[in-house]
Amino acid sequence: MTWSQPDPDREVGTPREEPEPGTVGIWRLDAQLGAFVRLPQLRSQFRTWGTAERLPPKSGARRVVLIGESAARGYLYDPALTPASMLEAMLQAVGSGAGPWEVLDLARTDITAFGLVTLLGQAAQLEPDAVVCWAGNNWLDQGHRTPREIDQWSEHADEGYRYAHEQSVREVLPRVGRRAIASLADTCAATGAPGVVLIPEFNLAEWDDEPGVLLPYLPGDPHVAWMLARRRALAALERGDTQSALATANHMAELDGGLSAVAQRLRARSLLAEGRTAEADAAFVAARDAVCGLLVPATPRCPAPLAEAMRAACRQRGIAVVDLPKLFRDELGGEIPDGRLFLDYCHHNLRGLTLATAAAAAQVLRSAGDERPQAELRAHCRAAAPGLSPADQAVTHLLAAVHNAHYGQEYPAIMRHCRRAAELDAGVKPLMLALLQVQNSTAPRWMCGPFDELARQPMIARYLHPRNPTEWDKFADDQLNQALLQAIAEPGRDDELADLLVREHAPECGPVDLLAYAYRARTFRGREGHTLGPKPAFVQCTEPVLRVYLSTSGPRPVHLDVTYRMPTGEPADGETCAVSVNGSGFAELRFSALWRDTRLEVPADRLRRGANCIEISWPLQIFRWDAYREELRYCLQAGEMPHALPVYGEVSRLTARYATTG
Amino acid sequence: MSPNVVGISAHYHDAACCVLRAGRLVAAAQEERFTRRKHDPAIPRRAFRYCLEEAGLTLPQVDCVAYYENPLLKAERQSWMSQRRAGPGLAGPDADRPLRDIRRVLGIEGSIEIVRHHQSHAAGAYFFSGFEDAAILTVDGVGEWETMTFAHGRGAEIRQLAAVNFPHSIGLLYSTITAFLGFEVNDGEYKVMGLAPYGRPRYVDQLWDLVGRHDGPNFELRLEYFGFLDGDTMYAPALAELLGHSPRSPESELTPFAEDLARSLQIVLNELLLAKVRWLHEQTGAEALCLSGGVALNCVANHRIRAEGPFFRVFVQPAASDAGGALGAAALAHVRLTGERPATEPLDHVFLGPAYSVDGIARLLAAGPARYRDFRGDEARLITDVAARLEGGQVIGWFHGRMEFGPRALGGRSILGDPRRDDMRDRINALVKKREAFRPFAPAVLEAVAAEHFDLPGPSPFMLETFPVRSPLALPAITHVDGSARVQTVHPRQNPRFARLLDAFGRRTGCPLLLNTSFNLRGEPIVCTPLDAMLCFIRSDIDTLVLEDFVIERAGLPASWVEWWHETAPDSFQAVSNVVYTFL
Repeated sequence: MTWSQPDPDREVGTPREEPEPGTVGIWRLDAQLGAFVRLPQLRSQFRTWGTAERLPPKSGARRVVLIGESAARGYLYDPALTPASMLEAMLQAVGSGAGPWEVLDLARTDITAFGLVTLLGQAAQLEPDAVVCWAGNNWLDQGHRTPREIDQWSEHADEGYRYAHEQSVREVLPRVGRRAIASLADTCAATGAPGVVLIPEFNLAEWDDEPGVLLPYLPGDPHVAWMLARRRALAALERGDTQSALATANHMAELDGGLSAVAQRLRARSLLAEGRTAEADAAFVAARDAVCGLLVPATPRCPAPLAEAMRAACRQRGIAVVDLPKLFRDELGGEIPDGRLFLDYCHHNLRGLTLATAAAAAQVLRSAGDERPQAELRAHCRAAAPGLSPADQAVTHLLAAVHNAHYGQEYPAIMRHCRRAAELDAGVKPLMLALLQVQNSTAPRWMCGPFDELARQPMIARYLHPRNPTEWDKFADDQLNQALLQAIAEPGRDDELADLLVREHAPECGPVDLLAYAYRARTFRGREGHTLGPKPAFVQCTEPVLRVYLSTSGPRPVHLDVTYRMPTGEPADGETCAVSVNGSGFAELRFSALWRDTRLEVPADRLRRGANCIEISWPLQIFRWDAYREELRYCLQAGEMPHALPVYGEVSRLTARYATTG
Repeated sequence: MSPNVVGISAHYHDAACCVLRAGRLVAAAQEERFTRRKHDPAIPRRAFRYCLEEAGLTLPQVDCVAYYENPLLKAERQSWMSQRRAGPGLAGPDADRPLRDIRRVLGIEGSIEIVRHHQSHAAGAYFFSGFEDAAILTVDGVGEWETMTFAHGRGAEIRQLAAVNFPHSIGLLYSTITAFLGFEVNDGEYKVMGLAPYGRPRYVDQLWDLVGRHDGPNFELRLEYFGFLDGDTMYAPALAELLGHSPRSPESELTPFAEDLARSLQIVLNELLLAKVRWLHEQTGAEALCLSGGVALNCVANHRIRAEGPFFRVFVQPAASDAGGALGAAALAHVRLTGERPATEPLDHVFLGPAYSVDGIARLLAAGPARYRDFRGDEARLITDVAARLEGGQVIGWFHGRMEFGPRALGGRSILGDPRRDDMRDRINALVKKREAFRPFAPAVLEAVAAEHFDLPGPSPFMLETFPVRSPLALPAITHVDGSARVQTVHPRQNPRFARLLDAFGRRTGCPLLLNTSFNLRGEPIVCTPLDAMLCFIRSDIDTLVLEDFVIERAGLPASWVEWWHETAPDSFQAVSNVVYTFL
């Protein structure tokens, strides 16, 4: 990825390109039918949009157009239940007066700010009576900086990511928000339709950023102190010493200047444990927003400055707002939004979805002249929400378990969804077994026999669709495997999984490349690393441990051939590079700034049948800011995305084979 | 000790990587095959990983990386171009990029040898030709400043005799007409070559008007007819005036004008190249000629050079475009490091890419509900089965052994059919290739009997030359409108299983030839992995897929696979520009 090079005067949404006549998203106007018809040649995009074959010509119904991102698709419930279908049901049930309501579903998973603006322009052709826009999670895109802003950052390279972060939250993100709202206002003005904007919220209290994103390069070389403080803070939290944890986390935040979500979350959890909810809330918000401007991939989110810019623009342009941050806190009695309303980072569970959609419906009804109080309308709409069978809800939670796993959440979060799925419907267990088989086979998921059973479920087919390129790869799914086995809770299934792993992945079939995604990458980002810049031909570890999974048939000694280096840092005093299997150390790697080949023997008695976890724990290192600053400058001037995160170790080869045959 | 040298070409089009171990070429692959981005120009990190693994090398064991062009010289030309083409959207040249990518993306810590672009082409042809003494002609669009070079190779030394510099370029002349005819620059040139036999040479004089001085080693374009220096298209408005026709819109109907212009261009190209090789022969006195650069993929011109030129022997680098530059760069780096040429025997085959284990394919197939036949341990029965299917008119997707390096599928990743059938060309076009109907398909023929069917002087293992068809058989599917065919001869030494298939088909039918075209859908690179092949099979209407020892019929595909994939297009990536040559 390189910097986008937009015309500095052409920001998102202004001037908006004239919409292509006869086009709305994946639908094209069929003049004979008078309807917009889904284009077969865009089939590869279908799974990201609503399922309507046609957008019919306007009839007597009052027409609402819903535009937005994956949250507005009802991600992981879609297509069994969508916000559009829910909104329509609520409006039909609660709306009064002239005629029926219809809601056209133009929400699209993965839509960008640019795509949204285009779609808003196209939507005018549908003659809406109201436009509901539920977006803002996907605007953290780094390509929104103008060349002038990149130059400004380059001039302030001494300040590093501190400047980039502030530039992002003060200038870049608010501009994107303002322009998107302006574009909505243009559409509303052109059609006479009122607009409603939902300001997104985040799973603040429970979502963790990926373990590979800790701390960017910082002036003053504070990494060692920060990492040691992190160890102390975690230990303090573990033993319930929240005061000490808070003090240490505060020290971490001083060291990193607010650029690490890790420090802010440690603060927040300590504050929460101390009962200081409001301060904890603020710290969780700071954690969510810490990633702004850092040039690392991050899960979708709507940072506070962006949300505030959207609110202000809506006020200025007379657009109604559904303020989910406020609505959710009210719902939770002032507590911090968490898994009670979310499935993952920004996608809602049924409660959150119903709450948000009811609020949107209430705003639409008000704009249509319904003068009942908003709270009353929301309550009526909420009561009118269509139900969803426990079986479908179970499938959603199963998918949420997969999604949480592949976005780096730890075992408790994954397990919670697996358990919830099994509680909702025991009939989900065959699907869990099928998932175990397809996830742990070497063949692509869609080629595995049990996938047929999974794909018969429309919700699963949407998420794990064979043509979804992000879902092609296999991952190091040990935690997901364990959670699924735990939820299935049937004797013998552990052995079946171990048999499958041995059959498909053990060195019986030849040397195993442990750097392959299936053995190393827990997450989508983990496949290629946490950088938006050029992807290297080797693995770069931005967390201080490299974890891989080796399946073996039992206690046989294994040779590990490793080529590694620690290219940028200097080891801190007393630090070593330990190698362990299943938590038991068996070797050390020498510090080497240059590539080094070595062979390690994993003792047979440390290995068990099935998956074995091998860890290389890199030493804590001093990362020199002065050297990095020049690299940052080069990248900014050459149009290359800099690698923001220090690299603890690099591995170009990690191959396992049995030391002896038989 | 002989060094381990990695060759890299990148940042232009057709990025590629190769490894020379002790002077022997042990692996080579284009990045596009792994990324599935056609003509992918990015630093070839996946091909690099493959090459090291194939060669059994680790990063510390790489002694040297050779890069196939001089970034400073290239940046100099780019700067010159940028000054002429003042306007928005043009990033400044980045001469640091290649070395930076080699260090940071590939992780190379050792020495990096820079080899000039046309030196890489020259070395890629000469050092793999097996000749000890040869003239070398390289011709392409542009590399750094040079567009055509003349050289003499003797032993380990290549001495450049003359060069033509940008913007004067035979390659760009050809690409300009390609663009004028509505085809993609860098990709559609061979379509123009295929179109030529349909036309009459009505525009030869006008095309000669595009050329100024061209005596001896010289070549000049009359730049008023070309737009690539200053405009957004390859041609200037004056070209349309000269030809009395406007440019053809892409995908529009092909008119007699287009055919006539293509024919005329081929004639001009033939004459230009013949003149150049004659001059080169005069200068060197060599008996052998090596050809490389993108223009050396013009099979028709290659035939004329071999048939009418002054050289007794001709070797064309099979990956003559920039991908082959990686080979030449590595070879020259080897010479610089050791003082010796890397290998003395000629390149016999280009099966230099990855192979996939039969056991792995067995696991892949066993995972799902597809029905298939397992011929493990019984190759003879496999061959009999496939030959019978071909005789029955089936179109076969054939995946066997190591992947080919270069643009041609030569029996490793091929689509095969019966060349005797009238409908086979249209059928394959309709079922799989979805390409222009005028373009011919090529035959593969057993080397031992090739002369019975084609007027060729010797082996042609790389499908780089056209020859007259003189077969007693009617071969409509592979015979071009002018009675020629782009022949691949197959020797059992090069690809034993493919040779046995040809032999078996010949025994059944009396026709030891097969139609052989690359295994890919339109717009995608040739398949690399068994999975790529399976997807191409499902997406197309190929009758049967042969994955090593396994045979899968279309009827054996699960309905769900067909529902998910049939008639879906591969992800299409525009890795290179198709409007103007990618020298910026």
